[in-house]
Amino acid sequence: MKINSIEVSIQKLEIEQVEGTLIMYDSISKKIIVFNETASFVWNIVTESERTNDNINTCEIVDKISQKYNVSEIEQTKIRNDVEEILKKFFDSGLFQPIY
Amino acid sequence: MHNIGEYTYDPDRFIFYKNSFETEVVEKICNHLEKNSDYEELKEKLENYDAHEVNIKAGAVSRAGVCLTNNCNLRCNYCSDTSSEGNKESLELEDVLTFVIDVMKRWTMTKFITGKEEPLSLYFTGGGEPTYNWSLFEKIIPTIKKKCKENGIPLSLGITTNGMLDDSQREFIAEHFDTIMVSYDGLPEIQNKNRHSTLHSHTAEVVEKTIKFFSNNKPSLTIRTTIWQDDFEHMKDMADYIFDKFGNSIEWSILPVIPTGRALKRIRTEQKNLREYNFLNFYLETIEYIKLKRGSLNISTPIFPNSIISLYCGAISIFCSCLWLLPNKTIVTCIESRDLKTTIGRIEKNKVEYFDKCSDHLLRVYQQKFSECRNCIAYRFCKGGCPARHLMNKNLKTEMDDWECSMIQKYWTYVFRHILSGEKCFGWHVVPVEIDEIKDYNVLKLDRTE
Repeated sequence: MKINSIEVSIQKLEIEQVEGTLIMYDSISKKIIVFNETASFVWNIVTESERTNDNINTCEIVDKISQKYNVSEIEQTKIRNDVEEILKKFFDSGLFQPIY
Repeated sequence: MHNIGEYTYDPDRFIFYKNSFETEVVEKICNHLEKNSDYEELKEKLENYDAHEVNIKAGAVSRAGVCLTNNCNLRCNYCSDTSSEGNKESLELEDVLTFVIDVMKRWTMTKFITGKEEPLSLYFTGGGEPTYNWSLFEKIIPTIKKKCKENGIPLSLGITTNGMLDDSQREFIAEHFDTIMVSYDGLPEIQNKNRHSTLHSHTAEVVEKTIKFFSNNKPSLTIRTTIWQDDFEHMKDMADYIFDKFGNSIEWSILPVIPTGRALKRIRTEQKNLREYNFLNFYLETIEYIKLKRGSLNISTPIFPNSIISLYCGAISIFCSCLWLLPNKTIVTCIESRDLKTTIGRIEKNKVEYFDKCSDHLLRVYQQKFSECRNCIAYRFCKGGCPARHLMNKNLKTEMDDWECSMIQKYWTYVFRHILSGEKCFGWHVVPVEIDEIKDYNVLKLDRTE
């Protein structure tokens, strides 16, 4: 699948969801990653797209979040910033790995 | 090394060998048996921390506790919290739920790390009486159970109560709780003397009815008897009364009064008599008496930890294994440490906030006791003991610390003497070391079966 036109593979980790928070465990590095609610939502959107073999981009993610929470245009700008930050963290931490 | 009759006890290897052995023989034995390295490992970890400024890392836990209120309908004459009524600080449903959801997440981390799915253990105790605000209590419990169920988290609920409950309250607790501890002081007259209500009215009848109900409806029931020094001599009568009245399947846990809260003044006055009130002897005699009369029953005391441990205290912030939510909405690592609590976070506007750093008095004492107690016969079993109790005794200038320490040492000397004469004692026994090179020296190893 592609995220923002970048071909990526998503790291397969053990995942549990508790009250909207995603908790992931990398059994090789023994690291635990806890996402906040927004990051959990972004992760769910991306992995759902991967499951259905669709590509996705930041705008589509922001739209989905805006629809769910019924947010104003001003708030959308903030959400966009958050989503960009979250996707960057996913790439930086190796959860999303670009395929070259 | 410690001499027990004709044997020497080597605590680093948990072995016993004859005192009469020459140095070369002892060296040969030691060379063939690996030394336990947990002391050095833990020492290195402990030395790396500055107890005055510890970085808080609230991580995985599988146990947590909630102290709903400091209010209580009883005025027990030794209450360590001096609980009464009219305290304004009390948790609300939202506070407890916020805390429990955070704990549920930490339980999930534990599940990942251990690969095991033991139930999340959630305990309700005091401070005051957890059931004091019954309408809140009966809302909270089903809400927590529902939340855990929705998230697929197995839950085990426990409670310590004073037992002043009516029929519908007893039914509710029996339905929802997996482990129950009821405080009852062994004999009706002692219960009525120690654990009376505001107007000094008697409580034995109601509490006995509660225990009777739970003993018929709940498999895991413990009676906790807190006992004043001058009542130690009634321990056998208490044992007979409790097992006759409530059956042999209950657990009876005995705790000598500790010098805090309402007990402090009297303990200070009477502490010169502490050694005369020998808890250990009365305890051992009671166990022996019950064993002869009824067979082996479940009697215990938190004073004598009964296993080999690598760490005594999970309440110091760096090893925190259980989080506690208090009525003032703070999160602490230990419920027993009274004014010396290590506060690591709080509930603020329905969110859990953990602090970045804390000052940990308990860690400071633990570091100190860890080295000081290294050469004690009981060291492998108590690792310096409870840091909160040490600190309280020191600050309050009581002699309870020495008293407790000397009892624990005597307890282990007693256990070792018995197992070396071929008996089994509190689950402990010795087995011969089967290594060919040292087989002829009849070295014995400490072992335990539950």
